[in-house]
Amino acid sequence: MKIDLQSFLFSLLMIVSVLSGRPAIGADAAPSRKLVVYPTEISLTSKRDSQAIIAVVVNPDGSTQDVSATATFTPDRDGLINLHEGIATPVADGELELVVTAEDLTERIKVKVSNATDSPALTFRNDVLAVLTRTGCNTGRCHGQAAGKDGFRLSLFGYDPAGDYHRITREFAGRRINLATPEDCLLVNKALGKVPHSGGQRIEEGSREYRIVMDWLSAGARPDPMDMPQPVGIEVFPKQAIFNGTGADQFLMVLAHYSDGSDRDVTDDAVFLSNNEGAAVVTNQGLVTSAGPGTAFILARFDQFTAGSSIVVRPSKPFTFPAVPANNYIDELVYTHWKNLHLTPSGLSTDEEFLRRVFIDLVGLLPTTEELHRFRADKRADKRDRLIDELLERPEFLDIWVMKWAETLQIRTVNGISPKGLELYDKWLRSRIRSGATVADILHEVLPASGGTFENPASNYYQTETTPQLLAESVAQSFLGTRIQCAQCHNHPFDRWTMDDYYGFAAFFSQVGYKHAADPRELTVFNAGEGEMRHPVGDRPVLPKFLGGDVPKFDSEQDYRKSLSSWLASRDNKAFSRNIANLVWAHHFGIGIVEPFDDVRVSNPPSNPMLLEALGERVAESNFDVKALVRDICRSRVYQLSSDRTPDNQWDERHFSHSKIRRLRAEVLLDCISQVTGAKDVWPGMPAGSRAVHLADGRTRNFFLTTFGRSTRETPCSCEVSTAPTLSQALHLLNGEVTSGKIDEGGVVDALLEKHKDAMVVADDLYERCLTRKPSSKERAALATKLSASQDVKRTLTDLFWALLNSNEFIFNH
Amino acid sequence: MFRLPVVALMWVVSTASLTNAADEKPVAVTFDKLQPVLQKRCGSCHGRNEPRSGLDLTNLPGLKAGSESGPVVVSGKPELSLLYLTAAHLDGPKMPPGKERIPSAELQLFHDWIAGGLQERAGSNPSTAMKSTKPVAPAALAPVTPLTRPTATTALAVDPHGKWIAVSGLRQVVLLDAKTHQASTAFPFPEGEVFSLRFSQDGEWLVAGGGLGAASGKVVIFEVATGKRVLETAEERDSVLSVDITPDRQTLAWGGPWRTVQVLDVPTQKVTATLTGPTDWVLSVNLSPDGRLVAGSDRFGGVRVWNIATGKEFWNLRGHTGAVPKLVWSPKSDHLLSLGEDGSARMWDLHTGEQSAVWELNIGGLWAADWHTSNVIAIGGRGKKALLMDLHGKELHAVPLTDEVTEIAFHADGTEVLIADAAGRIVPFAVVTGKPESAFSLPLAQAMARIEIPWPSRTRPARSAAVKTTAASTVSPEDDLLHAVLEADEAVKAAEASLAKFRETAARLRKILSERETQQP
Repeated sequence: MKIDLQSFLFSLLMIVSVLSGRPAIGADAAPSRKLVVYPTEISLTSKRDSQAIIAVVVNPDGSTQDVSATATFTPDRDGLINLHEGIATPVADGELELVVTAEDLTERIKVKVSNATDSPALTFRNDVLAVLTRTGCNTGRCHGQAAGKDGFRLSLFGYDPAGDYHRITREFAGRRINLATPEDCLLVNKALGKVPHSGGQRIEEGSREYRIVMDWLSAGARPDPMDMPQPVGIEVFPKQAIFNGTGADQFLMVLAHYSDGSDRDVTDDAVFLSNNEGAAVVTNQGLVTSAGPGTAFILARFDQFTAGSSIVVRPSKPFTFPAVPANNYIDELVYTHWKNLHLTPSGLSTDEEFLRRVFIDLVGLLPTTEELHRFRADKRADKRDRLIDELLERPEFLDIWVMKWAETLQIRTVNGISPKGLELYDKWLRSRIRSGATVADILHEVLPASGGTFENPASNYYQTETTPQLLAESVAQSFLGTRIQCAQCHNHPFDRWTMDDYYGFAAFFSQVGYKHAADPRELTVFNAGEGEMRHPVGDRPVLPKFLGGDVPKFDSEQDYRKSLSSWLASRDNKAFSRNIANLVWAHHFGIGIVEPFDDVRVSNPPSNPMLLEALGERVAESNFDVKALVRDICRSRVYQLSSDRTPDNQWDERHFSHSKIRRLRAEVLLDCISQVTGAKDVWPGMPAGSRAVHLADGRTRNFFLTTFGRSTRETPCSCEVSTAPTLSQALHLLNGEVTSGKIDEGGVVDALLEKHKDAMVVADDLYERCLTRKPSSKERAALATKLSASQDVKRTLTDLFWALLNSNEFIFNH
Repeated sequence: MFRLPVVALMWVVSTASLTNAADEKPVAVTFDKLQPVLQKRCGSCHGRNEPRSGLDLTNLPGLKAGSESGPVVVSGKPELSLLYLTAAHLDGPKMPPGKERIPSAELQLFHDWIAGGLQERAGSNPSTAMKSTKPVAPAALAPVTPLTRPTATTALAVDPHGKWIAVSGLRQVVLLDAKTHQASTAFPFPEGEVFSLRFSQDGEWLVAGGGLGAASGKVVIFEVATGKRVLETAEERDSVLSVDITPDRQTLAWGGPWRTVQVLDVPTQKVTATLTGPTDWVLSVNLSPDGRLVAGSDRFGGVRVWNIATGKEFWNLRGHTGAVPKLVWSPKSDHLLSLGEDGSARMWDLHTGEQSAVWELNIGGLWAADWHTSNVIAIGGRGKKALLMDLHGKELHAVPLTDEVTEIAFHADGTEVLIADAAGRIVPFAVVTGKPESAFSLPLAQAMARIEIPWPSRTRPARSAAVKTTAASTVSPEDDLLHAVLEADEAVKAAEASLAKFRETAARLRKILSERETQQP
């Protein structure tokens, strides 16, 4: 009865939406349904080969439906292949065409079968190693540990196949494997749990994994042939799936490509992970099931490679995208993304909300009451755009970006950077930015910097870190948003970086020389012109190689670092421009398109790739002038949305459908408290009137700033700046001297009482000062009661001021 | 054990189905039947590496020793044995934790083994099961088991009388005629793989060490003439990797992955010392020819020498980086030669504890060596090469081989040295002529065929049980119906209640009406 009612209601809704002239799904001209199959060409090259076929129907609304299990597969020639549940296995050599039919749709797949009766010997690298990885033998908790586990070591996730082969077959000849009794040797007994094993039973007797190991051992566990095809990459199909609602399935198929041009279905040998189990879960055989609205990235790993499939799960109810104007290209790209996700945005922020938000983000201050009144009075349609332009020209805008770049350069007193050196370094950066230098210009000066740290302050960069490895890690993380640290000791398990990439990148810094200058506080950095980076595996020299790029050619004597900086901070380097764009975006939204913004990896894809691409192009176009991008961002409706969530975007945390409420960062919070209380902070060694955002040294000690998570600039990590709440923050604001001390020191309440006479007007002023709004009628009524009953009006107003500074509305940007 | 009565009651009630057969006549289950189950189901926590609650269930002594809180088995009484109760989920904590109960067939083994009196192996007497039992000795001599596939030679020794060559075989020690190289007979070694072989100086005894990796290990002394077992040591928890016996046959010493060296007094069969110090697997244990010192090397570069009489460390000889697979004593007991995976051979002066020579040999990691009384030293390495050298490290002969060298042994007369490799070949090298002779190996049966993976029988993956489908309404049609029935019942009740009320009201009204009628004239 209930079910009937539900379906009745649903059909009613459909009728209503049809009658209202707006289709329930998909606002654009309806494209037709189509069938997509993967792979489009199949090549079965041995008796053991098999290929799962993925068939997907793409609906007019963009959603996808896996029909791999229900489609019919009809070969145009009999006797060449076997088909079972859409999985093709070879029978006899030849070529054929496979017709895939799902409902009224058909597609064709070319199939070629060769060596159908051949079963070539299994190899360690391509067959056995995959078993070790899939069963978890070589994870970091088990034998993949640097020191191994219980006396047996494997390389982490199999980055060193030759070493693993040696350790299994030869390290202790006769112990781990015994070719005379392959079914009863230590390797097998451990995996089966027949002898004590800290990891317990890892494989079942008779399982596919067991048979692979047994086949290989019984064939003599021979070393892999030298000319064996090596895997060169993997692909996951389908690359995208869009589910309408939860509980829907999608089979994944992983195809590995080999150096001889062949490919192989390695779905059964791959490891699968979901980066958001709230949206989609995956089994270890690659079956994805939608679990809740949102996006998920399903990661597949095979051999040294990682690839993924992007999953969108739409809420399971009818969707209509509201008619909202698009202010610029950012809005257009974000709307497209929302339509795909069936996500509707919150409403526009109020003028007051917008004013406060854009002040905090652009200049790190609150609007004054005068600025608020002026903006309120402005009736021009483009007043928001005008305000943005105005703020972008203020010196405080550059102060914010000097602070941001100083963080990415990790400017602090360390490794012999003296206070004087630091002062010169900070002055240099500040004056360069003020005179219009972009982050790219800065890098072109910093990375190849030579000379004394006093005469050329840019060379101080080579004191923040002093080893080629650490310098490379910092540059990669700060400017390419890529964490390559893992690859120092092993190939990155969730990304494409290998040890070769790591040491190749570090090699750019292998010829940095240091010597003392005349002043003992000064150091001279120079290009030594000699020295090389050596690979820890095999101790061979490694030539400089751009991260994810080529091996550049060098003339003798050429400074490696020059070539690095011209490659890195270049309009052609998309990784760099995307990273700068993402960093700017994250500053204005509290969350990056890639989040965290310094952790770009295959397994952490951007939430909206098209948007990131466009923003990257935009910032490269303007030669990395941040101002142009900030203008675009702030003008977009997406930036100007309300922070109130609607029932329809309640679930969204990553797609910007509402403004994210975020705590003010430490420096800005302190500056804002000082601003509204009229108190001044005094910083040692800094000119009077300096604000917290001007602080030059990451090591400046200040209890307030430390408590509220100021970056110490010790590492290049975005996590250095913390806006996470702690109890000591609350206690410090409630009881610490910062709030009450500054209220007393600034004498704002006195001055306002003097100015306005009327206590209620003073209360209004305090509200506008702190929260950029007048008190609500409810608040106003409460205030009136309190003030009229007050014996000491000044005291009551001071309490109000204190309460406002302690309110979440003050501490957060919303 | 306040909970026992309750538990016992539960046992009677709830395990009837499990034990219906066993109640009548307990099947004789022996520990060797139960052990694989314990290994598989319990071994990862209750194994030899820091067992949970101090309970090691992977071997009989450990099981009988019980946990920190006492014994886990009561012979003949499964209903009182925690091992059974926790595995059967009849008592807490349920084992294995967080997992389903083990299959009832396996549980039955637990039950029957305890009910049958904790028998160690077939034939052992239940009443004496708690005491260590003398195992039934395997037949003294056995035919040589041919190998199905050549495998690494892990142990090699030559009889001092020059009659026999002893080689590690398939769960046996194979004796080959030293002249003809024909496999003649074998001493069964059902304990596992043989990793170390030594003849006593008089040639009467052959000492064999080995076992099953990560499971068990043992040293056995065979009487060469008869193949009879003269002595068996207590069982170790891993395979013995190296063993040696003094020329006077009074002292036996061995080591393995458990990082100590055991010293046993042969006449009393008592372990007199457990020598500690090695920080990794003990790879080589060697008694000095004068019978006073024992040397041991480990996998972490450690080489130590202890005094047998006092059990105290005599020298700690540091120099190698990486494993030290092999040690050899000089015939006069005044020098020790250590062979390292780092490629170097180091000569140690036992009077000073100093390194008197270091030879970088360039034949890969060193794995095997022997030192003949004529002062010729043979060393073999991973680089598929063996070298014959004099005492000053001067190369006398270089012997190229086709695989990594695993074992080396001189003939007593020094005329020939046998070099064994990782492919199971043994190359005799004539010292006088400086020529290798034709290699021999253990007899091969018809070569084993490759165990090929059958035809791929892939199927589409199924949803795992862990996948929660939040989507499909969690209310099944049955639930819906049930709900409707309950609703209807409620409605009937309510209707009946109101019907009763109306009836009551009607009755009252009728009564009032009739009263009025009677009052009116």
